[in-house]
This record gives sequence, C-alpha cells and structure tokens, in this order.
Amino acid sequence: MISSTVLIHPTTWFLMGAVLLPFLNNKEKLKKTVLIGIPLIAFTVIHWLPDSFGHVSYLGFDLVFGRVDQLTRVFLHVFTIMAIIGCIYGLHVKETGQHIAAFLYVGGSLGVTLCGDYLTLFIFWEMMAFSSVFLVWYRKKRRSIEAGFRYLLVHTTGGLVLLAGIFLRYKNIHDLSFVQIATNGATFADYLIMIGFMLNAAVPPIHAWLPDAYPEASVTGAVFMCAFTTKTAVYVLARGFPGFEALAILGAIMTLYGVGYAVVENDARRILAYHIVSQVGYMVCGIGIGTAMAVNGAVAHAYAHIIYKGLLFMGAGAVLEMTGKSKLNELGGLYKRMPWAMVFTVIGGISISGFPLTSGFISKSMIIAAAGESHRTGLMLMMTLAAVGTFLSVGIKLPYFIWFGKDSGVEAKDAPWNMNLGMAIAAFLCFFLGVFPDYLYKMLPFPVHYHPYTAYHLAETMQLLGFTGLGFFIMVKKLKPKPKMNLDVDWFYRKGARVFMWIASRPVLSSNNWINDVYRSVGLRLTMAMAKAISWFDWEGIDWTVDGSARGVVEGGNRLRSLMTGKIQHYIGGAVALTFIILILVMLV
Amino acid sequence: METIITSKIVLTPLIPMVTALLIMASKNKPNLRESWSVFGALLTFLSVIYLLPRLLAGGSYKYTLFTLYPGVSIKFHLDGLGILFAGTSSFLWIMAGFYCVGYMRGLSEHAQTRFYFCYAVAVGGAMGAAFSANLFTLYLFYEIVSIFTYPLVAHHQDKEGYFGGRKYIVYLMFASKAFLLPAMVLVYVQCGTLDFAIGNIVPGIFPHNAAPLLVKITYLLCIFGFAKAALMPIHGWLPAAMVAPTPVSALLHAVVVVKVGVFSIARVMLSVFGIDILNKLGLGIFTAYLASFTIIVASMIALTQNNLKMRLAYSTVSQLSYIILGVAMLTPNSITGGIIHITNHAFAKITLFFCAGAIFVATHKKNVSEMGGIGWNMPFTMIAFGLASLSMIGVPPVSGFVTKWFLALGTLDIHNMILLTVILVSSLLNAGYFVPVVYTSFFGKPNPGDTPSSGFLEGSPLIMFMVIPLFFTAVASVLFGIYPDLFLKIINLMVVR
Amino acid sequence: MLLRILNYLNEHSIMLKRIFFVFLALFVVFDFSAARHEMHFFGDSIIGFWSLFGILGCLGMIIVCKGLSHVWLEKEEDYYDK
Repeated sequence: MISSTVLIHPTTWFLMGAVLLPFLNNKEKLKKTVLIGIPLIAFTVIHWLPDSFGHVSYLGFDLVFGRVDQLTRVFLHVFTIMAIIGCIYGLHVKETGQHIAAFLYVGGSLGVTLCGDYLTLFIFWEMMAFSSVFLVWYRKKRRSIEAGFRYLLVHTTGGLVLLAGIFLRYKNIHDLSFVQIATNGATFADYLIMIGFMLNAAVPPIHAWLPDAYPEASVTGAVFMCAFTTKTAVYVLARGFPGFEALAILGAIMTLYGVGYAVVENDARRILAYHIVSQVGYMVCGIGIGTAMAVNGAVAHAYAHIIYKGLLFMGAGAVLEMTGKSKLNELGGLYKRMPWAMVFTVIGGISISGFPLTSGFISKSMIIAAAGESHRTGLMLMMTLAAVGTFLSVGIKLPYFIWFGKDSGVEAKDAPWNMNLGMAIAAFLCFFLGVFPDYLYKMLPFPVHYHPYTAYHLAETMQLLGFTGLGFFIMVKKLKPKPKMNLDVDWFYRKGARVFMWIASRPVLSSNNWINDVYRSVGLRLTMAMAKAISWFDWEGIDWTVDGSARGVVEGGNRLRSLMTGKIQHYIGGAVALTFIILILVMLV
Repeated sequence: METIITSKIVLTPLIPMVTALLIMASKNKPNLRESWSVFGALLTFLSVIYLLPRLLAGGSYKYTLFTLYPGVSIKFHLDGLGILFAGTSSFLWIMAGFYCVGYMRGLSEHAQTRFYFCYAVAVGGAMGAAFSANLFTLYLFYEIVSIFTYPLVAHHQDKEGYFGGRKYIVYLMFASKAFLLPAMVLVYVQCGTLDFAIGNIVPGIFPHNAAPLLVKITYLLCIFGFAKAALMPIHGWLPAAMVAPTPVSALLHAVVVVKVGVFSIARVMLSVFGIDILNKLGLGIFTAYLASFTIIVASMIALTQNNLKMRLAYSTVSQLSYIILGVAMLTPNSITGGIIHITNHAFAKITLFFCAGAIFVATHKKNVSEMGGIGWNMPFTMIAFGLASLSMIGVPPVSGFVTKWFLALGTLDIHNMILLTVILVSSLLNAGYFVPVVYTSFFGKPNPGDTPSSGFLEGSPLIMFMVIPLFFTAVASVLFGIYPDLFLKIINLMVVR
Repeated sequence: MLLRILNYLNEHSIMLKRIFFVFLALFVVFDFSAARHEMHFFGDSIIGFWSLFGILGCLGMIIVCKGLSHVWLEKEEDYYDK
C-alpha cells in the first residue's frame, strides 16, 4: 500500500539516486545513466499522479505528501525538464557530491511543490536549503565557502521565520493544511509565513543572499540553483497568497531594483543573479494582482524564465569553465573561440528580453497586460521600464562585453558536448514556446484569453527593444565594466555579524571566564574549609593535645594531596564494592 | 496494571557495579577486561528493556532496599522518565564500550583498568539515580557519579588534568554539599518524607500549607545544587572537564553525568514540587527564563571556541537547558519536548564527541581551524558529524526537530513569544557554530604549516572501532527523528493524566 | 561555418548599423498601422510612444543607476575582506 504511492512521488526517485550515486564512483557509464535516467523517470511519473496521495501520520499530524492540481502540474513539468537539462549540462562533473546535492535539492523542490500541508513543506524547504549550500561550497574557493555559510544562515533564518508562522497558524486554527489564504483574513502568523516565502523568492530587502551566493556557486551548481529555490517560492506564493496587495507593489519594485543593479554590475553571474530578482519580481507582482490572467502570466513567466535563465547561466558557466573568468572587464571577443555557446546565450538573451517568436514574448507580457487590464497603470509602467532594463543589461550588455566588444585575448576552447547539448535543448524550448505558445497556455491553472501576437503588441515590443538598443550604443562607453562591486542590503548583516562576534568574544567570554574562576577564590576555599570542619568533627573525640591537632593538620594536608593524585579511588572503589556485596547478601538472605 | 514489588529493578544499577569488579579482576588481560565492559553494558541495557513492557501497559516496578528511618530510605521506583534515561545511557554505554577500545588503545593510554572501572561504576550510579524513588537515593547515586568520574577527568595526571579535575570536583562537591544537602533537609522538614510522587506529576509532595518563601528557597537550592545540569552560572565544570580523554567527554559529559543533572532537576521539579506548586509560585516561568539565558549565552560562547571539544562542551551547556526549559514550561507538550531531548541530545552529542575523539586519534588535531580538508580523509566521521549537527540545529526530519517542535508548541500553550524566539534564535546560533566545522572539514584547506593528512584514515582496525559506533549513533539520530513514536508513548504515560 | 558568418558580420559592422537604423524607422512606421483595441493607458494611443519610452527609459536608467553606483554604492571588490 505505501510502497506504490512512495514510488509515484518523484522525490523518491531523486532520493534513491542520491543514495545510489556514491556507490557508482568508478562506473562512469552507469553513473551517467543514473544521472540522466532519474530526471527522465521523474518527468514521466508526474503525468500519472493522482490528485491526492501520500498521507502519513507523524507526530500526531496528518502529513499530505501529494496534492495535485493544475498549478502543481505545470511547475512539476518545468522543474523536471530543468532537472534533465541541468543533469545533461553537468554530466562532466567528477565530484559525486555535487550530483548528490543537486538530486537532494531537486527532490526537495518537487516535494514542496507536491505537498499539501505546512509540516511537509517545511521538511522539504529545509532539505532544499541544506543541500543547495553544497552547490555553493563545491566551488571550493575561500569566497565561495564564506558565501555559502552566509547563504545557509540566511536561509535558516528564513526557515525559522516560516516555522514561527506555521506554529502560530497552527495554534490559531489547529489546521496545518496548505491552502489559499484570504486577503482579508490574514493574521500575523500568515504574514510570517509570507515573509518566509518571500525570503526564498528574493524579495528586497531580504534578497541579498542571491547575488551574494549565486556567483560563487560551482558552474553547474548555479544552473540548478537559479531554477529551483526562487521558483519554488513563486509556487508557494501563488498557492497561498494570490491577490495580496503587498506582493503586487513589492513585485514591481523588485523588477526595477534587480535590473538597476544588473545594469551596473561587473561579474557576469552576479548580473544574472540580480536579474533573477528582477524577473521574479514580475511573477510576484502578477501573484499580487491576483486576477486569473495575472496569475496565469506569473506561472507562464516562471515556466519560461526557468528555461531561459537556466540557459543564460549555462552560457556564463561555460565561459567560466573554459576561461576561468566571469568578470566582464576581463572578457571580450569570445565569439571567435566559443561560437556555439555564444549563439545559445544570445538566444537566451533575446528570449528574456521578450523578442517575438521567443518564450519571453508570450509570457512576460501577459503579466503586464494583466496589470493594464486591472488598471494598475503604475505597476504596468514599472514593469515595462524593467523590460527596457532587462534588454539593456542581459540582452545587450552581457553578450556584448563577453562575446563581442574589444577582444580580451582570452584563450578558450568551445564547451564540451554535454554543456552545448543542455544549452541547445533550452534554446530550442525558448523558440518552441515562442512559436507555439498554446503548449504552455494549456498547462496554465486558469483558462487563457490572451493573444500575444497582436499587431499592437508586436509594434510596442519592437519599438521598445529597438530604441533601448539605440540607447545602449549611445552610452556604450559609459557602460564599460570596471572591476568594482556594489553594496547591497547585506551590508547590514555582514557588518552586524562582526559586531555580534565581537560581543561574543569580548564581554560575554570574559564574563564567563571570570565566573568560572570564582570557583577558585570562593568555592575552593569554602569547600576546603567545610572539609576541614568535618574532619575536625571526626577527630573531636580524640585527645586534644598538640599531637592531636598536629595530626589533624597533617591529615588535612594529606587529604589535599591525595585528592590531587587520584589514587583515592582504589580505596573508595573497594569500599563501595564491599558495600554492594553486603547489600546483595542482605537482599538475597 | 499495578506496580509490582520486585528486586529485579535493582539489577540495572547492580550489573554495572559487578562489571566494574570483573574489570578490576581482569586487569592483566586487556581483551577480557574490554569484553566485560561491553558485555556488562549489554546486560544492563537488556535489564532495562526487560522492565519496559509492564511500563508500556501502564504498570510499574518498585523496591525498597532498606530504610534508615521513616521517610529516608534507599528505594527504587520506575517510571517513564527513569526508563528513558536509563535506556539511553545503557545503550550508549554499549557504543562507548567499543569506542573506548579504539581510542584508549589507539593513543596507548595508561591506567586503562582504572579507567574502565570508574566508567562502569559511573554508569551504575546513573542507573541507580534513574530508578530512585526518593531524594535520598537520588542524592546517594548522584554523589557516586561525581566521585567516580573524578579519576576519569584527571586521567592524564598531567598539570592540565589535575587542574581540570580539581575544578570539576570542587564545583560538583561544593554545589551538592552547600546547596543540595540543605535542600534535602528542608524538603524532609516541610514534607515529612523524601519520597517522590511517582505516577503523578501534578501534586508534588509538599503540603498545601507550606510556606511559600521556604518552598522557593528549597527550590533554588535544588536547581543550583544539581550542578551537573550545568545551569549558568554553575556551568564552569563542564568545559574544565574536557581535559579528560574523549570517551569520557562523550559518554559521561554528554550522556551520563550531565543527564543525571537534568534528570535530577526534572525529577525534583515534577515529582517533589509538582506542577501545581510550581505554577502557583511562578517558579516554572522563572526557571524557564534562567534556562533561556543559559541557552543563548552558552551558544554565543560556543561560537568563539576554536577547540572542538570546548565548542561541543558549551553546546552541551546550551542544549541541557532545552531540557530544563521544556520541563519548566509545565505543559504536556513542553515536558514531552524536554524529556525526549534527553534521548535525542544524548545520541547526537555522543556522535559529535566520538567524532572529535576519532579525529584526534587519527590526526592529533584539536582545533577547528586545523581541520581543513580532513573530511576527505575521514568521510564517515564527518558525515556522521554533519548528521548529528543537523539534529542539534533542529532540521527535520532528524531527531532534534521533534524536540524543538514540542518545545515550541509548549511556548504557544503558555502564550510566551519570548521563549519561542529563544528557541528559534538558538537554532540559528547552533547553525552558526556547527556548520563551519562541516564546511571546513570538506571544503577548507589545511593550515600551511601543518603536515597534511593523506589517504583514507578510517581503514585501520582501531579507528574502525571508533567510527562504526559513531556512525551508528548518527543514523540512530536520524531514525529517531523519523520514528519518534516509541519514546513519545513512554513519555505520554507519565505526562498525560 | 558559423564562424565565417560571424566574422563577416563583424567586418561589415557599419553596414549592420545602417540596417539597424532602417529597422528602427520601420518600427515607428509600423506603429501607425497597428490596430489598438483596449486603451488601458494614455500612452497606448500615441504613435511612437513606446519608442520614446524605450530610449528615454534606457538612457534614464543608465544615468540614474550609474550615478547611484558612483556616488554611493561602488566599492572595491575586496571590500568585505578587510
């Protein structure tokens, strides 16, 4: 009974893979089969999921591991596809630990997507955090180790906020089911849960972990990370909090915040990381607007974004892998040496910018149109402005300074076949969805009444993109990358942590040492005094002559000495043993 | 089911004592001597298991050894709290028995007979304490544990050893003589008896007209008298005791000694004072805040410690107060959380200390900053360390999460958000000092001046004696998190009335 | 083969620029003919609005962001390592 439902849950397959992989260390072919096979199995399994399965009793609660509806299915679909692409891209990675971490990470993400109650959600939420940190650490540089540690602490904090919200919600309504929360019925507990979700969605001001950790992750690790943590958070926000005004406003702000940093940053993967913040902003905004079209748009955009952001990270990762560099000021002119990587990345770039015939055109604009339809003009303009910035930073600036521009003279071979294949699949999907949007629209949670290929939409988009491009070429000299970084809100907790450690190591530690030494001044003297008093009491009956007192002093000194040599235990041991023998005799007789 | 009177209950404290004698008798045959250790541990554990079925069915066992005068006797009585403590300690003694072989022989330690002898007696003392039916018996066995762990702390007999040992014994003896003894007298004077109210944790043994001030003084003397619970500021003996060989730190100062301390406090709170009087006088919440202070401050200190055993020692100080916090909140959920942490923490902490010891034997490294990259030389050890760390941090589904879940529910039962924040913040602090050990060992670089360890260090037989038990306890930690039901059932018997 | 195309394009960049400007003009012209269905926003009805939005938005963004960066947020890469 339980075994069949366990096997139909896709996470089980990833867990089995994770356990199996260490044993396949020397069997390359088998290992590669498992690496690609497991995501493929997961992709097939999700098509046969029943609407509700996997009910387990734990700690007195009814955990629901499987709750499936249209919203669940579309996310499962894209997550498993991305897992396949990511595993293909990472086939060449020798460290088994990275693959295990990736499997646990994807498994956790699928677990969150499928869960029906908050406790199961939390279990998989933490699993995602603790496994993805290894994808950062596996880069093995000092900066990566430190960034990973910060990543883990931030995510642990977010998890604790989420947990607090779950506890309070349970106390209020005695129900842990994960369902939509009414906008006018949200309690403090629900807002805590929302904040926990928002941290994983990288909503400012709790977003800084993303641009901190993602550029420091391993090449393949970053490809996985960009897809799963934030989009799982988008899923849970879409499930629990559609229509919350705060999300709409924060989402729109997010789009500009992320893209603003992306325009000025220097490291390729940091630009992409900030850009994730921007794109997720569209999704968060769409969820916040809450209408059917807006939520549809958010989900469609999540789907498309996973593919093309993954593609962009794959491209930047390929450059990093082949040249060892990711900073724009050190790169340039690589189109000659890595032509295929360039083509794919450029496809990713135009897709994210929303060129017609790409997936971005049919997804991002749905949210903007939804904002328009709900007469949220401010949000609409902010998001359109962010689209300008997107094309500017990721569509033009990034490819220009890596692949074109002034030749940096960096030597590089084209990427290995598996990396190119992964990118090719993603690029193909970008076009496929752009040309046949109905494949995606059919999977969306609500019926779709949006038609992207209208003349007006085409006109609007081409004008926007074209003139943005013009703007870039006018200002291209100003945009030349410099080896600098920009401060973000993580300044507060990075400096704050230093202050905290100072407090721990100075005042707290010295107070502790002072108290521990009090024993010597007070405790030791008092104990010895008590011991002397008791021994005086012992000898009271004996002659009070000088001999007696002298013997008392000598005994006291001997006692002190014997306490230090530790031989006393033989006598005590013997005495205790004797006592127990007597006790046994007493009992039995 | 009723309580039957049988002397079988005395077997559990007795077997370790007999084992100790056998150990002393086999001092010239090391293999025989070590086998007595493991065998004795196994028998002790089995004797505890033997007592379990009747307890699960709602009954109990008791036995009076002898009576000094009315109200003061050596008496044993079993309940859920006692059996959980006894079972955990005896089972982990089996693990430690194996571990000790690898450690003591790996370092060619001296005076091994004395070591094993005192080890066994100390565990026997803990067993006696677990089954104690009154304050006098508890005190007697509590002191036996103190005395017989002193030679273990001072084992190395060097300057550090004597210094640490002296601090250790003075702390424990001073607290027990100056606080506990008067407390016992006060309890006798106010209640007419020293017997625990086993079977019901609500009324306690104090009469209704007991003077509040006197009760409060007695209470304070009790909780500070049981210094082994390492409640701040009486915690300094625990870091000092880290000079002992690591098997001592692992079994005794993570499981037996410290748990005797918190067990005694829990026992006194629940079966001497009782929930009613603690609530009435506000002593519960007072203790909860005291414990919270210890939890947070000890974690902060742990963050600053480079020596791995010191870091683990302060972590223990912090984690023990979770148990006290749980009991102090006086609700069924919180008491469950506190008591189950006795077991959860024991398994996780012993794993962590076992790892520290294995690292020391294999590489002679004590400080976290030197441990760069050893994860690849000792993968099983560091993976076990990682799993046990997850339990301490409270990540589901490892056992520590079960503790935190019940503790948090407890804070919600008494509507105290401060305590909830304490629990959550301390989880973050735990992550702050455990995670660096894991990432340093796997992704860090060894220090420039050190000789780098090379190759797989866990293959030699002596090291395997250490690594197998610690991996076992780490896996157990995970399993207890996924299947906590047996322990919950045992605790429910005494908590839900 | 791909390389040959790319190198060809690189050498004839001036020609590319000219084609680019032609397309920009075409886009604005196309806007005259595009049918507008729902006016959510006053700008929808203006021809060429989005071209202006694009160029001004782009330039504005570069100036504001670069400005903020220069004035306040830009630091050396090893800022936190001190």
